[in-house]
Amino acid sequence: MKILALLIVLVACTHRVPTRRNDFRLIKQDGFLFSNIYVNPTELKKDSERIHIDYFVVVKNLEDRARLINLDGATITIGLRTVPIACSSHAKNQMSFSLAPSETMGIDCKIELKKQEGVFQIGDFKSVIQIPLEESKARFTYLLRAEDFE
Amino acid sequence: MKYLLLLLFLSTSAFARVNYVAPIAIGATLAASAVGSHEAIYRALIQHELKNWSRPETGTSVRLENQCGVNAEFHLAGNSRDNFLLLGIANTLPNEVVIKNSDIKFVYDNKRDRFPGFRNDVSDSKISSGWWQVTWIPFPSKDEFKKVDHIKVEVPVWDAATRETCIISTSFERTGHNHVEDQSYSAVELMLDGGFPIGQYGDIKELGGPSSILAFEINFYLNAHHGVGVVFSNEYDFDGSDNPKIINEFDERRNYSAGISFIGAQYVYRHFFTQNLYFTYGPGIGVQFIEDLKENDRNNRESSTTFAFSEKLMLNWRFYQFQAANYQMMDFVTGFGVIHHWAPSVEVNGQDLSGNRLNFLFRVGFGF
Repeated sequence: MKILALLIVLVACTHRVPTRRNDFRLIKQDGFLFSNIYVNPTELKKDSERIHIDYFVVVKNLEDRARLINLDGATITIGLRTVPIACSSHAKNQMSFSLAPSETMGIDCKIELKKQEGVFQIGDFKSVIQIPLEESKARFTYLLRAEDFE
Repeated sequence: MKYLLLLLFLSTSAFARVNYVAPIAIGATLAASAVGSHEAIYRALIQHELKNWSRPETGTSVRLENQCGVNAEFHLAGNSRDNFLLLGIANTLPNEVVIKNSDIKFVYDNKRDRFPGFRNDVSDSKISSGWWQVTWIPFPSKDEFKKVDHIKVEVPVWDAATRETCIISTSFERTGHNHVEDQSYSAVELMLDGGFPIGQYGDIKELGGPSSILAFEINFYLNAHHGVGVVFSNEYDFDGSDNPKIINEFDERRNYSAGISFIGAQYVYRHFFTQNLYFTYGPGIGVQFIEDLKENDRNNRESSTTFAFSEKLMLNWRFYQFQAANYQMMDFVTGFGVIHHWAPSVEVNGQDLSGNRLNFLFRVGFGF
C-alpha cells in the first residue's frame, strides 16, 4: 500500500495539468446555429517553429433558404495582430459552399502560428477566432499562453 | 522461491487493488450514469460518440436545434455498458427554463416509446437566462439499442414565463453497422484458472508432468474484441510433491522435484458468439522460472530464468450478471480451454528442459 501511495504521489507530481483554452459555445448568430463542442479544450500542438490548433465547429442553417458561406476571410486575432487561417467544409473540403435549409455542416479550421508572431508577447492572450458567415462573423475565444511562443 | 513469492505478492496485490477499486469504479459508474452538469464528463463522453450514427457532413452524430426559444445540441455516445444521449442546451430566453429530464422520451423506429434508463432519482434541470448546461441521458438498454435504426428524441422544456411546456425534438438515423460499438461487454476481466496437464513435448518431458496448474490473468479491453493483460501461471509438483518423503518414492533417475512459474504480458482477442458465450485467445510473452530441489535436498535449490511464450484459448460463458438499481454492474464467468507454454531454451542442473507444455484449464472469473 505504501508503494502504491508513493506511485500515486509520483505520478501526481510529474503529471502536468493541462491548460483549459477553449470555452464551450452554443450560439445562434446571423440565422445560423453554431457549436464548438468538438474542439479539444486543452490540446495545443507545438513544434520548434510553429503552434498548431485544430478548431472544428458545426453549423446549421436555421433559415428557410440556402445560404452561402465563404470561409476565405477566417482569421485569428492575437492582440493587435490578425492572422488568416485555413478553414474548409468537413465533407467536401471546400472553402466556399452552400448550406441548404436545416442542413448541418462541419467546418475544419487549421490554425498555424509562427512562434515569431509572439516574440514580443509577455503575457497571455485571449485570441479571437473569427469564422465568416453570410453577413457577420462567428467569434470564438482561445487562450494562448505567453510560454506557448517560447 | 523468492521470485515466486514476489510474483504471488504482486498478483495478489493487483487482485486486492482491483477489489478495493471496484466499489469506487461502481460508484463512479453510477454517478456517471446519472444526469450531470459537468462539462468535463460530457466532453469525455463525446470522445466515445457512436460512429454508427454519424453523418458525412460533420463526421459526427451531432444534431443542432433551435426550438422553444433555446439552442440545443444532441449527440449519441456510448461506453462498454451503456449508450447515452448527450444534450447541451443554451437558454436564450429572457427567463428561466426547466428541462424535465425524467420525461425525456425516445421513440424507436417510430413505433416504440422508451424513457431514460436512470439508475437513481433525477431532478429537473433549471437553466437561467443566458446560461447553458450539458447533460447525459442513458438509454434504457444497449442490447435493445443495437436493433434500432431510427430514434426520435423529445425533450420537454418548461418555460417559467409562460408556465407551459414545449417539446424540443430531433431525430437520429443509423448510418452504419459497427458491431464493436453495438456490443455490450466488460472492460476489465479477472480470471482464475485451474487444471491439469494434457501433454508435454521436447526435453521438458524429462521432468514429468505437473500434478496441476493454477493460472491467473487480468485483462483490460480497449473495445469489445481487443485487449491487453497480464497472465500468471504456476505448474507445480512435477514428479509428485514437494514433500521429500514422496519425492523419494519417485524414479531415482530424476532426483529432483520442480515447479514452473510463468508471468507475462498478453494480447487478447475476444469474439462473442452470443451476448453470454464468447471465446478468448491470448498469445503472450514473458518470463519463466523453474526451481528445483537438487539431490532431494530442500536446502539445496537451483533455479533458472528464461524467456517463454504462452497462448491461451478459452471458451467463456457469462452465467450471471450482478445488477444494482436495474443496471448491469458485474459479470460472472466460467469456462474451459487450454494453455500452451513454450520455452525455447532452458537448462537446469545441467539438464535441457526446453519444450512445450500443454494444460487443460477450467476457469471462474468476473468482469466489470
